[in-house]
Amino acid sequence: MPSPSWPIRTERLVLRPFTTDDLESLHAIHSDEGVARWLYNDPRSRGETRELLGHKVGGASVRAEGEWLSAAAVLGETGELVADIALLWASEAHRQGELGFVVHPAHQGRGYATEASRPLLAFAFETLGLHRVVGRLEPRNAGSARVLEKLGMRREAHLVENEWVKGEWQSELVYAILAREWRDGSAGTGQGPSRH
Amino acid sequence: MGRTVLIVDDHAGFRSAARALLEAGGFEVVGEASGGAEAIAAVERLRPEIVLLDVQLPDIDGFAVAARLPPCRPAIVLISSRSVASFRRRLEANPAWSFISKSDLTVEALTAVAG
Repeated sequence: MPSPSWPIRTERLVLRPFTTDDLESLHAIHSDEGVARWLYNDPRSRGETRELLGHKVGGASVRAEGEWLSAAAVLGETGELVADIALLWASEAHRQGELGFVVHPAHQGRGYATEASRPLLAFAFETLGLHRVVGRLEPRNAGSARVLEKLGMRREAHLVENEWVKGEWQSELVYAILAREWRDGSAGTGQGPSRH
Repeated sequence: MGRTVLIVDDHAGFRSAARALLEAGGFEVVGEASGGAEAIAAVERLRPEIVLLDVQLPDIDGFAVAARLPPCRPAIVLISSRSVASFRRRLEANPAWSFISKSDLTVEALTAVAG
């Protein structure tokens, strides 16, 4: 059952599986209006966050395509949860994946999403053997777009007003990076996306 | 009673709204699930005739859930806030799967694809 070697330590962060003790901090992220603004869903109630956390606790490893790997990114010094990072093993046959993240409103703009996404991209390419990982976002979600670009992901598509979301036409950017680009070090030095 | 439905979505608010809508329209909602693994177990236990299945679930992608369910029954109706265009190739992988955009979910729409 493919799984990262938890915990994963980066310069400032520790990535680990979610536990049931993460409810309060996870809810602070998923109940926030600003965080949900460019996602498909509305801010979550406490009960919805509890259900979400239950699934994330089970996401410490992936067994097959279609499954999400979930990582809690916490500050190395304090253990405070700063981001919810996830990787979808989208297709085994096509060796595709998708990266997603949301950052705690009090910790945005500090490069945590980028720093936390890199180990998941490494897991995607080096352990799962994926060929391509994508990130999708609404173009007005400029902060997440910067993260994807810092990760070295290439903007491949700008779909103009392709979806009716939250009472308005929204657009979609698709970013992607290939395994060889990751290996060649074109993964940049910054931070990663998405609408999840 | 109407046809039996299992509603799978990670948002309790959507599940409640869908339940009210479908029950008012004569369907019998026999259960709810908030994730993919839970949905697979619920199908085994409840044997619904229709599974209303969100694509974007937090543990297993809705298409992967659909692929793990028995091939003939129940009827699989995938739902999403996204448009059908986003999933056209994946839907073509299995002609037995139907799709309804969440904004278009009505009793009539569900009846048309799975009724």
